[in-house]
Amino acid sequence: MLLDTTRCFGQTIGLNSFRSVTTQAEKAKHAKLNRPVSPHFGAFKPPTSMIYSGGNRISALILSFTGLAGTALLGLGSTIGYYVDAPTAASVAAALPALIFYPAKLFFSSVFSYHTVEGVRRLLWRTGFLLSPQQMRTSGYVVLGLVATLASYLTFF
Amino acid sequence: MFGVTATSFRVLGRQLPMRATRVGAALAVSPMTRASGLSIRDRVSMLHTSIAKLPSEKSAVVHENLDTYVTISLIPLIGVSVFYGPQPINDFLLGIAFPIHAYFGICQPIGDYVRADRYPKLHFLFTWMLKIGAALALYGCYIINTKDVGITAYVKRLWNSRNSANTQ
Repeated sequence: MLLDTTRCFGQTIGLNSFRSVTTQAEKAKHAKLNRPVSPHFGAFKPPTSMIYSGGNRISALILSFTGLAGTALLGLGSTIGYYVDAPTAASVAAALPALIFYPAKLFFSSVFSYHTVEGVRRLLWRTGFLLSPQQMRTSGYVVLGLVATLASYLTFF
Repeated sequence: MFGVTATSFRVLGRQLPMRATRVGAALAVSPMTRASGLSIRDRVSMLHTSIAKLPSEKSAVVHENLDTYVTISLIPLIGVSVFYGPQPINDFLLGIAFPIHAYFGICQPIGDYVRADRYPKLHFLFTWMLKIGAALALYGCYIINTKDVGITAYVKRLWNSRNSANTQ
């Protein structure tokens, strides 16, 4: 059995040849062909903390790209001479149609407030508070309430 | 008749080319035979194309502590910005803390999704885009704070640009 031949891609070859004919990457690809995909989203209810964590990361990426790209472009522009100062930017924003401006404002307010409030909760976790399951559930609801409050405050006031 | 032992590997090893290593000798028979004498890393590398390396512990702890301190410092800065308004010292500190926080914050998804030993070129590209972007963002925040109205006032003007009671 140990010295049997094997079939590789339809051809019967010796086991020693299998080792020398195919690369590790080809073997891995071949192994994946008949491997079943393990069910995850269809079979398991996503845990709440996973959704909060995913939301935290997505909001972090949105805020980072907007903030870093915006400030970096302003900094680059100031060296070249294409700086956009505050009154110009404000007039551009005011000239946007209302259907774009208010949803964008609501979107960025909610993303910012979600990331802030969830970030505070994670800092509390790092210092040891709110770690029991009951506290996590309660603090999750508190986070949602605070995010709604802060987002509406930032959007409408 | 021959069991799966080290002695049988040596017997088979004589039939292999002269440059066959111990790993090659072990795998000459079947990929799933017990590879005694190999480290866990070598055994795992038979099955995986790449293995993640752990960072050296000390640098990871320093990195995480710095991340924590910057994040904690950002809470009062954001609080003052949102609930008080533009303030020069607050804007200056915000212009330092925000790019650093964003830098640490993007390091984590890069380390999670684009590890260096699995995607070396993408990792290199993203890491350097991040570093250059964060440095430019630091410079841009400095420009906004010194030559323009300041970060908080800039965002406030963008935010309130459609209000009728907006005074430039």
